[in-house]
Amino acid sequence: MIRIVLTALFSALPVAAFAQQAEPKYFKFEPSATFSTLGISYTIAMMVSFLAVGWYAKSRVSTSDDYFAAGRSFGGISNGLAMSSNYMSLATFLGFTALLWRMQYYLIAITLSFLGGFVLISIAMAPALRRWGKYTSMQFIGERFGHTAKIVAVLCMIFLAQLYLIGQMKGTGNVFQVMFHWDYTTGMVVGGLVVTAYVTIGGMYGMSYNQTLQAVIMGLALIIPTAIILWNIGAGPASVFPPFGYGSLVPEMEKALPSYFDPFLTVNGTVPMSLKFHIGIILSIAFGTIGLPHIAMRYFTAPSIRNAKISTLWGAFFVGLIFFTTFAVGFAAKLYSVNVLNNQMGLQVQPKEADLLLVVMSQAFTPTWIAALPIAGALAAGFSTIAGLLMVIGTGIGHDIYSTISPNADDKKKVKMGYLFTALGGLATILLALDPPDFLLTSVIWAFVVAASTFTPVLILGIWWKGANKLGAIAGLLVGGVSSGWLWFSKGVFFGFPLVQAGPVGNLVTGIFTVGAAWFTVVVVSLLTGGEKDEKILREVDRIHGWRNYDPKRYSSNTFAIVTAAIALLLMIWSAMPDPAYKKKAELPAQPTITVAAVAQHQ
Amino acid sequence: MEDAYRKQCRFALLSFLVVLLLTHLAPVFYFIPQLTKGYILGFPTHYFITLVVGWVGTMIFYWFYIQISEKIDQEIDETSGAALEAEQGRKPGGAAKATGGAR
Repeated sequence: MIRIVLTALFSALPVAAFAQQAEPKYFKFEPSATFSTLGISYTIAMMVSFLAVGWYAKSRVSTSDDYFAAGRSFGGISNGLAMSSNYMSLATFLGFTALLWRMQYYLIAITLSFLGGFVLISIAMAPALRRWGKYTSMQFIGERFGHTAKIVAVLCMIFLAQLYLIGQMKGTGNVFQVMFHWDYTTGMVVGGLVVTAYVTIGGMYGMSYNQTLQAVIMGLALIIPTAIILWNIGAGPASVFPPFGYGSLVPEMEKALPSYFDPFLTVNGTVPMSLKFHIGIILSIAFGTIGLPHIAMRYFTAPSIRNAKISTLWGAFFVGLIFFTTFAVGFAAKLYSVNVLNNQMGLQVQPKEADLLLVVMSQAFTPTWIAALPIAGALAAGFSTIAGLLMVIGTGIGHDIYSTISPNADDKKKVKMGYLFTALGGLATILLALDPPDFLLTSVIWAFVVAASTFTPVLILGIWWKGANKLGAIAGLLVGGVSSGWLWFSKGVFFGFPLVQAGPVGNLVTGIFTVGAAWFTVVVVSLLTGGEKDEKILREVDRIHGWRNYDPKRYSSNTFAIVTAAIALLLMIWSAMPDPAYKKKAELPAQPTITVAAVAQHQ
Repeated sequence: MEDAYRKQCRFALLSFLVVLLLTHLAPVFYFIPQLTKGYILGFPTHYFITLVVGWVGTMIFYWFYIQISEKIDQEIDETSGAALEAEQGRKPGGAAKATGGAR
């Protein structure tokens, strides 16, 4: 997963920027026997705990509300922890450190966009979806826009969930492979089966308890080693709070690498970042987060709307804590390598090894029993995200689609279908991840772009504009899904015409076009086809906003829709215009080096 | 159109834009590059502002959002409940279609 995200972002950057010097020697991480043994022990203990929690949760499942929404009883700090671990994946836990290595300030901007999207779900749509009283975003789309729209939404969900899931499974296999010298297939299958088993057995209850536990594991496994690392490289007493514990080392970093804090440059201070890239972040990452169905799903487990909001506040705190701690360890790794190791005869760090910086730094500066903690944290991060995605697949097919095919099915049958399709979703993903195709290299970032271009416009307009209708929603989902898929494969070219001037981190910039196109389509098609006429649906729109009576004038402003559609059109045009900043010639970055010998000296 | 309706729409839109701004401060530095000079608590100003505003600032704002949105929701519940009762009073026999409490 980490490597996938790294490669996804790196592959979009100019080739010249990553040109290596002649015959470089590359760093290769080699864990010691003690380190591997401790790591395996932590991992086994953790997996057994997850399965036990899943088994315990089984006793609480008797209705579909229990299986798909944890009985709507999961709120407060527990749900906040579960929300945060559901959201943060292997990429967050280890990959951010590696991305910081190259992208510096630009990575900070991207990660804060993740945090923004997390809070925006709660403002834009979660209360309304919670009042609707269902289990998934697809169900809302089905009842608001009809069965055809629901089927298209479930297909979009399966597409983006698989983009996301296979990467997580692959990342899990990679962790086992690198840390424990296991065969990739064995590691991936074992990890995949464990998470599939506990999610299938315990449903949303099992997943929720485990995600809470996983958030605690992630926090401890990241914060403790980082505090020790910062202390050992001279950050002083501020090390006890790693997110802001490295201020005293800033002058040293500015001396060693002046471009580190530059907001207008990235890739070691050589590739210019333009305003367009930052707008691309908003539309791809923040809007993508709003649309991710497995994130929205956690709001349905809360006992009340107020409780869901409080959980979001806790979630924002934990997400920030983890994000900012990864910045601290990334800063430490960069400074350490530039200052201490750069002058020694060493080995260059490849992007695929850069995701191990947290582990390398932990090995260099902390006792072995602590250094092995990040392995458990990384696997917990991967498992929590896999679980959320499997649950949304199980609910989407086992409940949403099955209820459409068999509207008279009883509750027990729906729960059985939930078990069946959650398990099948996990097994299918394991099979796909056995031989992952090349396109997975950019899959996770594209999962966000697809979510932003399909679910987000349809959900926001469906909630806030009564004029949005079935044809508009179906057209919007199709335009968003097809255009993001097309531009992904064609690298921004549409029948020979460069529709998106992608440039560095082009997949994020592509989101400007695809999100704009989907939004514009929903509005224009809905207006051209006369808007929504079904009074039952219009009454429901009032109800999900808290109204007990009905007024046709509420949420019916076409001005709002037309203005936002015009902005969407302008964004589409802007995305196709060349970016002056990208025309600047990128220079070769200075490659930091890191040596095994120097790391060993500190053990 | 009711005050509570206007409040809800305006407040949701405003809050959406504020959170977008708080968590996406980088574009601001293109327009005000002076913010990239200087230091706060040892960190470069723009870096510190991005981190603190993006995390702590967003959390503080969101706490206020919870308080205000809950009040608006309560107002909506009360005013629409009263309107519904009045409507039902005008139509003996209960012809009015209530959408029911939604909290």
